[in-house]
Amino acid sequence: MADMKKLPVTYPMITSWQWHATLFSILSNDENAKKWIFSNYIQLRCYNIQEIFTGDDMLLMDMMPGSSSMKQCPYLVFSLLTKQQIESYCGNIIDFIIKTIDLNGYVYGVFDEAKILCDADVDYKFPHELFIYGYNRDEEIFYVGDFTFQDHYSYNTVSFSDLERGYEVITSQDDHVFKDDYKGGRGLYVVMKNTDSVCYDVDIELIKTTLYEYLNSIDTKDHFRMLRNRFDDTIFGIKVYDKVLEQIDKQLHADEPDFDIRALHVMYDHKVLMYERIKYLMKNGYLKYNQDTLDEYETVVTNMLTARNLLVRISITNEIESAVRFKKYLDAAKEKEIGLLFRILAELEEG
Amino acid sequence: MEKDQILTKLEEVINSVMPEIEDVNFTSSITEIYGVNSVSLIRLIVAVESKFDISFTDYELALSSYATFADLAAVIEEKLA
Repeated sequence: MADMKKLPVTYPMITSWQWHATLFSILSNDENAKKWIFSNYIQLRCYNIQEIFTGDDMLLMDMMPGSSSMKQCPYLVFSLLTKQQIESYCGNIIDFIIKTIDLNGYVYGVFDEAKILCDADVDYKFPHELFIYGYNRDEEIFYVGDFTFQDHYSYNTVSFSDLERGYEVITSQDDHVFKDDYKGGRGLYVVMKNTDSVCYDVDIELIKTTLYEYLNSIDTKDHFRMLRNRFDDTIFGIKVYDKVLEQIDKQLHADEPDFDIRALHVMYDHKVLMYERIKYLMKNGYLKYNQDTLDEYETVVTNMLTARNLLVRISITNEIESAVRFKKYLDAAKEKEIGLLFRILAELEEG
Repeated sequence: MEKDQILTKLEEVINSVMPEIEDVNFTSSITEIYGVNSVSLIRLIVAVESKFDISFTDYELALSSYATFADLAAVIEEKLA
């Protein structure tokens, strides 16, 4: 067995949620996978939930596909293994991960990152999904990707022993990912690349349909109802701009203001990906090359980034009154995006 | 304010906001060498505003605008001119 192995990763073009950061870490650079990536992730949707760890009201924003994207992507093979299977096959988690990486499988699953990152004596758990893409036996470390290490998505190392402890302390109840997938249990996922041949081509019909649904805030459930049918409380498409403004206003004017930037960050990632999609469609002849369109869409990206950064600034300075500027940035992004995407949709319709 | 004074004062702010940075090299990549991210940069800019009595616009909070601490010093210099 090799002493060290790192499977290829590319810093992901979007990082808002761990499932997106993981999929894009594995597939961003693959020309076949881009056919699927740029045909999807067009619709945005949001709804209110109680935050898993704090119980606070939060606006869960995500693109479609969302947290199940690695299962749905045809350029990945996503397998579930229970804790019992892992122990039966390999005896322990360290050997299981090393053997999986040796066979070119990435590993994904929930670990206690408080135990991994902080003192082992902390009295709380922080169960979070971790992406593991390599190991070094000499140094007894795994190569991993996550947000927890540096307050933004980054690639880091975790010792064998910390990772083992971080796995062992998580109960089935703590594992918010696996327990919903299989009998309320505990386990890990193996993710393999499946990109050698084209199994999904650029889907212009899907792009046109979901662009139309995004622009008109239409419920997209018909495309996804074989996977999920709880959409009654969900807002789709362009209307998420209004919902996020309403949520930020509510959270900033609460008795104890909340500075959750996640919904804004997802919207920013959506614009980054849409910009890359437009470039890709132009490069591959589905749209005529038009630098003005790219420049104009770049202002949408900039305004979303500025809105997100403004919320970060308010979280530091507590200048709640600055929040009035959100509306300016979001309105500018929304107006420009609607105009550009209707033009792009019309060009795609003309064929 | 002279450029050297700006750099000295900026280094003080960096040391205060980012104590994990021991030796400030103004031409090193702030993301790759110092691990600066969007949030830590905005924290630094807020401290810079206070120290130099200047204001940054919302658009000037973007991490992509500053490859190095020298880029941040250049913006400060421009605002003080």
